[in-house]
Amino acid sequence: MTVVYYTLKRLLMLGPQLLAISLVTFFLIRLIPGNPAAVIAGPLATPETLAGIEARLGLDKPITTQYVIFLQNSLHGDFGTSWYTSQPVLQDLLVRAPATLELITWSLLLAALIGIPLGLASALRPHSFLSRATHAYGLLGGAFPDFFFALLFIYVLFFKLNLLPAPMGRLPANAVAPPHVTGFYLFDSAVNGDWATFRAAALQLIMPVGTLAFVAAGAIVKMTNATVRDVLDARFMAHCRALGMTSPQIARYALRNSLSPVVTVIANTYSYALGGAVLIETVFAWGGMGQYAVQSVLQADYAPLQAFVLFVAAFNLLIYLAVDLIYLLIDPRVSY
Amino acid sequence: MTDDVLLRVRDVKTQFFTSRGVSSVLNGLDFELRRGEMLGLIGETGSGKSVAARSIINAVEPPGRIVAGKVLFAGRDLLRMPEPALREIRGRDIALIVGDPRRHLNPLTTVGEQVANVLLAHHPLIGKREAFNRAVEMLRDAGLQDAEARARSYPHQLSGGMAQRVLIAMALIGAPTIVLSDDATSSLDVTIQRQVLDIMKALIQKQNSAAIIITHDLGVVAHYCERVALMYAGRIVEEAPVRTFFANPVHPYAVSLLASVRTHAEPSAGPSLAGVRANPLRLPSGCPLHPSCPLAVPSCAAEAPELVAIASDHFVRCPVAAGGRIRVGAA
Ligand SMILES: Nc1ncnc2c1ncn2[C@@H]1O[C@H](COP(=O)(O)OP(=O)(O)OP(=O)(O)O)[C@@H](O)[C@H]1O
Ligand code: SF4
Ligand SMILES: [Mg+2]
Repeated sequence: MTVVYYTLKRLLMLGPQLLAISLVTFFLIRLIPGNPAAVIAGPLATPETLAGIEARLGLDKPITTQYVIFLQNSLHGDFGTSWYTSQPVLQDLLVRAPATLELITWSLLLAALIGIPLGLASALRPHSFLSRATHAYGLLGGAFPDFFFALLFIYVLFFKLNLLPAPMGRLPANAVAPPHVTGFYLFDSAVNGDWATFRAAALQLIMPVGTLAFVAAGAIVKMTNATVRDVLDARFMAHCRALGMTSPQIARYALRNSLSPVVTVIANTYSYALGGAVLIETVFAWGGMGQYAVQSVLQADYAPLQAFVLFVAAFNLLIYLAVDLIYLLIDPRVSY
Repeated sequence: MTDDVLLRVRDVKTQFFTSRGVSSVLNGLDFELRRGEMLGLIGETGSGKSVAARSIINAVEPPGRIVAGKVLFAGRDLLRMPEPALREIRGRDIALIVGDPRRHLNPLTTVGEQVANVLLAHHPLIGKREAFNRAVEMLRDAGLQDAEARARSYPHQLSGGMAQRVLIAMALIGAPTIVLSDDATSSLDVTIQRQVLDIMKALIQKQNSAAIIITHDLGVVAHYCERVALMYAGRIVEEAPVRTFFANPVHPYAVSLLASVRTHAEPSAGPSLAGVRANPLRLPSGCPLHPSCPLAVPSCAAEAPELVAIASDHFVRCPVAAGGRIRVGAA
């Protein structure tokens, strides 16, 4: 019951938190050099055209008034229009957010699936070949930027071996996106029973997901290995061995007691990837959130940037709420 | 006589390979444990009692290593046994109880499960539910009130004394032939301490098993143990039946120690050896006590003394005291 109460309290706090974040970003964004009216009007515009555009965008009003208008519109689900794409921001986000979320969710799931068992196994047998290979992998995964592996995969899997389709977006050029349900192509095509599209979308996902997972798993392996080692060093583990507990029992204790820090790493990587996967999105022409945000910064495109920051903030706050709830499940000493 | 011996510890040497050098903690541990007895193992902090307990079950953790010796149990040397066979013996035949329950219990698992898991490690066919039921019974036997409910709580929800009884239950649930109790009762109040020791005593008599009671409490030794062994710098310096030891200690260190705990004793002549500690990183040559021993003779610095019998059941590691039968101190 207290858990439900706690969750509701945290969800209610989302409102004020997002309001504060919107306030700060609203003013910060306006410090970005570049006048959007000038960008829209182009280099040959007359001062009159510029003033007209500024008036249309509301940029001639005092900045506080602009903020109030922004808030009112946001509450009605209107996050403005992108000056660059000429689309309502909400519409852009509804396409791009699922693109990125689909990409990073599969990536993180795969990374956890690889990283946690490898980290656990290498910590349980610290002198084995597997442990040394895992260590090397942890170093390798952290030593190169993610797009390097992306280019490597593309070169080998597409260009040389031709095992996978061209890295050009979420679907091949001749395919049509499934009817919008969630925006997640795998889910939407499966719901629609459209297995050809499902297969095509899955094939497009393999390389970018593989790349992100390959890099993220490196961090998860390292973290799992380090925490499991710490746990194994703990007195109570030595005592378990002294009482003849079996290897599977020891491994189970070790994993469970290492889970909190591992969950933290996964959550951090996940929330970072929402905007941080921009290089991968660019290499694979994914059309995701990261690309959208970078493009908005370059174009001094206020509305999408503002919406992007709010979306990322809300996403992170929800992730951290989930993490805190997971801690509660894992560790009986935690109480809120 | 020989058939009575359950455990034979022979010249065990354990060292810790630390950044500050090699620490020689056990320097030839020698003793026997017989069926049906409780052996008191005493000695000052750092004399190596806990390391001795872990060495017996060949469970010394790095950077420690057992470098020599034998531990003979049921006709086999535990120090030369493959890990899987050792695992079966640990916790089932020889079980360790330690103090400091806060650090020896898994904070994320209910205490009932932790006790049950020890049983399951050795009898996997029992099944989880039955193991848990037996764990509850064992917790009750170990003196945990309201065991049924407490078995479902986590270590941090229990007091130190209650958590200590969980550690005791973990050791006793396998009905071990040998119990190694390392400072396991000092955190309990006197009544509970008595209760727990009574349980152990009863178990030992019922199963004709044995226990090594490591403690600083000479009262516990006097009350529960048949024999006592005194350690100094990783060796036993005197071993005797409890009565003999308290009435007639022979080794200069034993004499000092007993004199220092007897408040009514007249101050003994000469410097006291009690409280003199050896540094395991740099042990003195010969008898490690020679730098401060009032009875030391030149040969003490040259030759490490052997444990010699001065009666059929009384052993002393000091040729000077044993040979001359010099009565020292207030005894
Ligand atoms: N992990 C370790 N690393 C280095 N030295 C150790 C380690 N464990 C024990 N020692 C050393 O071994 C010696 C004996 O320690 P031990 O714990 O056996 O003493 P003890 O007789 O049980 O003392 P106490 O009565 O305080 O429990 C000490 O000098 C200690 O420093
Ligand atoms: S052997 Fe020598 S130094 Fe050691 S206790 Fe005996 S008399 Fe003292
Ligand atoms: Mg100790």
